[in-house]
Amino acid sequence: MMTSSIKNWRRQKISKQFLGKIGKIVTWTQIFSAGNDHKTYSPYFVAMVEFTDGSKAYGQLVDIPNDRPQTGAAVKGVLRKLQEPTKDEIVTYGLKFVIAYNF
Amino acid sequence: MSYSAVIGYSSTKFGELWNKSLSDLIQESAKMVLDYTKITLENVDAIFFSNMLAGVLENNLHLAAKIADILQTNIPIFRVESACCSGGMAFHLAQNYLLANPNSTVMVLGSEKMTDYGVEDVTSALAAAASGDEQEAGLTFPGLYGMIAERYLDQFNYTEENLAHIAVKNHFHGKLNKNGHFQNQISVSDVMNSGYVARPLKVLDCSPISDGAASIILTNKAELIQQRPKHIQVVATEVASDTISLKNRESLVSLKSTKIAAKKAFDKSGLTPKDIGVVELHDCFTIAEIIALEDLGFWEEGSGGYMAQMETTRIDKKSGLVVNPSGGLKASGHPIGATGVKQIGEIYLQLTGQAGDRQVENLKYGLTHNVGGSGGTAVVNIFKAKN
Repeated sequence: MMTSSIKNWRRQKISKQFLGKIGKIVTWTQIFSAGNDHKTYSPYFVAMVEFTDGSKAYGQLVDIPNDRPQTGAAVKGVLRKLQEPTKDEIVTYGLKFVIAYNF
Repeated sequence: MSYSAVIGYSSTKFGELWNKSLSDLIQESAKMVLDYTKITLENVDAIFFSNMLAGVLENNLHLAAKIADILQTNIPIFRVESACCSGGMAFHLAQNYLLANPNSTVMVLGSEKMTDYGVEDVTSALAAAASGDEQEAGLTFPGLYGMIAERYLDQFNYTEENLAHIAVKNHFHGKLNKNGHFQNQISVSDVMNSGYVARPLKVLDCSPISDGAASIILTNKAELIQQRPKHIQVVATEVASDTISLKNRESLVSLKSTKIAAKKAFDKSGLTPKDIGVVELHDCFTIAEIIALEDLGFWEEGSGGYMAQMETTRIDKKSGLVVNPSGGLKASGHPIGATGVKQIGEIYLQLTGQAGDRQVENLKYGLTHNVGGSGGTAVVNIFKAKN
């Protein structure tokens, strides 16, 4: 399996539009059994988030204060490290979400 | 007589087959189905081979030529990949091949070798069938179905126990299938006490990583069909597609691809769900069986949690509909490329009265349902008993 950092770089052009935006959790899961690229972070939460314009995005939920997120909770898109460095020692950054308070 | 018929089926054992390679499984299954049908490869016009992961896991491609080498043949061999519905898709294409080639016979052979690799490797390989943004977010297939399950339980006010009954029912059937991966009965408590894979799905909500191969012989050659009283008629085979990404779907508690394929299959056959006595459907996860039964038209939307708890589709309940008598993907195992072929094989056994201890009585029609990914592709087939 070959994962190219360039592929992630291309996707950043799409995901950066969600940075700083507030959306709501549509559904979520918590991954305990992860693939190779994300296993060092497991268990981790992943949410499907919908924004006011109807667009949706996926992202891991970080800094969750409770043992489980709530569907409908407000979250904000943030830039975070996505996975461990590749063999080329490239660190991939991308979209994750934190709970947005006061929304 | 002018129809296509399945005239034979064979399957290797499904499970952790560490002493067998992908090639071994292919050879074993092909030989068994030829022996069963008492035909030679010279009487087979083409092979449709389904496999998902060999290229990703084993660096093993151009499998058609490798099968030609294994079976010592020069007939056309077509490799079909459509994630977890590779087998169903291979069958669909095989049937279309027969429609274009009267008086022909084909083999549909599905195989997968998964247990040579660690769970993380297989999880990553399977995720290749998800969208780019799903992969980037670290979503696995249990994770995607976990999202569907979370939404379903929340929307219809069910609990994880409702899901657990699907696994219990399928293991009840699985203990009657010696070729399946598992023959152990499990309880709701076992499921509830198993660890999470992707919330709310636990280990015993998930189908296992399995090795295995399955083959059928499909023909429209009238003479061959007449010589094989144990055959079943292909009544309908339909495929539908949907977005690869779950987030772009109209609904998170339903697979549109299943609904469309099922509607087309029922419309073309002139049948309704009430005509079907046995179903082999795609229970990769317990939630998948619940929404499949709703999408196929057997259960009302939102009723699946309750119906699952009643275990109405268990063989001994005699409700008129038995689901996954093979044990389904959950207990029989899920060697990806073989699954869709095994489903058709199980319906063949059921409709020809060869299912042994798990034989469902008074059958006239059977249905198979095979899903690729989180619903990006679905195949629905309907078969008729002829004996």
